[in-house]
Amino acid sequence: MVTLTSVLAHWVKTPANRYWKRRRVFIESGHFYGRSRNCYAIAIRRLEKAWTNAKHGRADLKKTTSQTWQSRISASTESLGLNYFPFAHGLAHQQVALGKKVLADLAWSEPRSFRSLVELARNDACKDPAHIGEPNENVILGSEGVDK
Amino acid sequence: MLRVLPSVARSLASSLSVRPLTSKAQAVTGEIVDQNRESRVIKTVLGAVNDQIEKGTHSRLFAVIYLHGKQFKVTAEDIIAVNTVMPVGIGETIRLNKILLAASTDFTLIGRPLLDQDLVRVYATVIERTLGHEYRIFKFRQRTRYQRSYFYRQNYTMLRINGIEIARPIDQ
Repeated sequence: MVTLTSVLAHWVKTPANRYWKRRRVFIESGHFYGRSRNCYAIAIRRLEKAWTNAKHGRADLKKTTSQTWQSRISASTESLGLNYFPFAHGLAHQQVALGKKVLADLAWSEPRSFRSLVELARNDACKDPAHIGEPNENVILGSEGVDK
Repeated sequence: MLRVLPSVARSLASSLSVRPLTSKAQAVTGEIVDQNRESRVIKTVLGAVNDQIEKGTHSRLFAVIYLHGKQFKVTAEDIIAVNTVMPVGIGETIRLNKILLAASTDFTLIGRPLLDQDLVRVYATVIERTLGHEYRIFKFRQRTRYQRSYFYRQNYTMLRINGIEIARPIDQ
């Protein structure tokens, strides 16, 4: 056995380095299909591509989530006889600042609260001459919740 | 007899003011018009809501709170993950002031845009400050030997909602 100085020992590549380098990749490629799970040369290429796809996916997720919220709100308001945009504009005119995320949540989990929001928006939409419909005369607004 | 739909009655719980009546104001000659209809409806509905608040007979309350640019629908004993480092220690109790909506089974208080701070109180306790999962950003350009790999983890503060209470009768 050759005894190396500490300087030369730095240059020697041991099998342990090779093992742990691959180990880090195989941990993340464990759920891939076929040889891209076990063969390092294929796994590292698939993993890099997967990381790139995940990055684009994170951007798309925001958009698709927002679309899902909107379609859920739209389905609920239409079942109560009002389209999405009169609903959204009506709430904005009435200074109700609830966002899409919460409205989509209320739409399925709190039907009675959501219905009162729709009535509030419908009352506002009836002021528009282009809107065909009668205001709900039971909706009476006041000063309690209004920001002073 | 006043006709007050339960769902619609919920809408007017938010507030009162003097506004012209809509269809009743343009009644044809000969129709009996209840001039005090608006005030009577308000009195009936607000009385029913205030009765529940004073006796504490309303069901479990939920609230929509605004915190760190996001809205959360919460009820008592919920845990919410806020995507930030909050300048409060673990175990401290904070009060969430921005309440957009508070409701029970029978009534809904809708803030325009916020409810009065003295009306609804929501308290929360900081239980944990932690990190989310790892985001990997991999940059790669073909044929240039350019590749970079970064990762980051987002900070989260976990809050336990202690309770929601309506402190006083509405519209007073």
